[in-house]
Amino acid sequence: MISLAPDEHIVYTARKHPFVFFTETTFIFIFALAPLIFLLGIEGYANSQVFSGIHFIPFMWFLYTLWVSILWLIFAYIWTDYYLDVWIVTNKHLIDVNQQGLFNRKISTSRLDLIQDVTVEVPGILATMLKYGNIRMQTAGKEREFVLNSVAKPYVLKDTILKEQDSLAEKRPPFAESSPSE
Amino acid sequence: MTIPPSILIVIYGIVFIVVCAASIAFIYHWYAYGTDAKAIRKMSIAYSAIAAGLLLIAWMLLQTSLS
Repeated sequence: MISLAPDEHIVYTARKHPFVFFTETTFIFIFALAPLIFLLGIEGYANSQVFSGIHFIPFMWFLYTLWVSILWLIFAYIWTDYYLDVWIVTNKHLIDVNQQGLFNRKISTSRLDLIQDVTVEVPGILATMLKYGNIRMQTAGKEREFVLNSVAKPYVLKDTILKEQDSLAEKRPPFAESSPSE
Repeated sequence: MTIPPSILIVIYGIVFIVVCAASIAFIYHWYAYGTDAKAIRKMSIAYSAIAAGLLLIAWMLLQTSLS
């Protein structure tokens, strides 16, 4: 789990839109269904065939089941990438977890008060209808730009960040008024 | 051409080991880096149950095809 300070709590968690996950996993369903059609087609034809001491149809179903096991593995891999690639907004920080594969991840953290500019981009009719878009954020920190593509409800994320930034600024004691020395 | 049964068992064994190792890696990552414990628990149970079910069915089909 992401470790937070004792007085810090998660306000909002943003992920890519489920549509992105769906499009990335469509090929798995196609690859799983295509051999199934072939198997159902030949089942009546070769049901009693025995080659080299192996019953043909159970053998083909055995190979198909192993194939589906591998596809299920790939599905879980894509889900892991989708699920762990996340922006976490806390009442103090913005945490960008960028998951690249299973063993490669990059975590960038920025204080909310260092965020200078938030840009939301909703590209196209599909993104407008399904309510997803790209959001990029300029900060004054070392990691200057935070980018999350195809995020679900980008306006809600932007509003949450700005709201938390405002409430953080309200809680902070005002700077001492210092007049320039003349 | 004759397919020795041992080849099929080796193929099954390789897939079994890969699926089990990957399952452990996935579940470890979900628990280590996830933020929503409830969703992780649900996904872990669903994933493990389906993976175990597929491997069990494959084993039974292997036995049937060799019998």
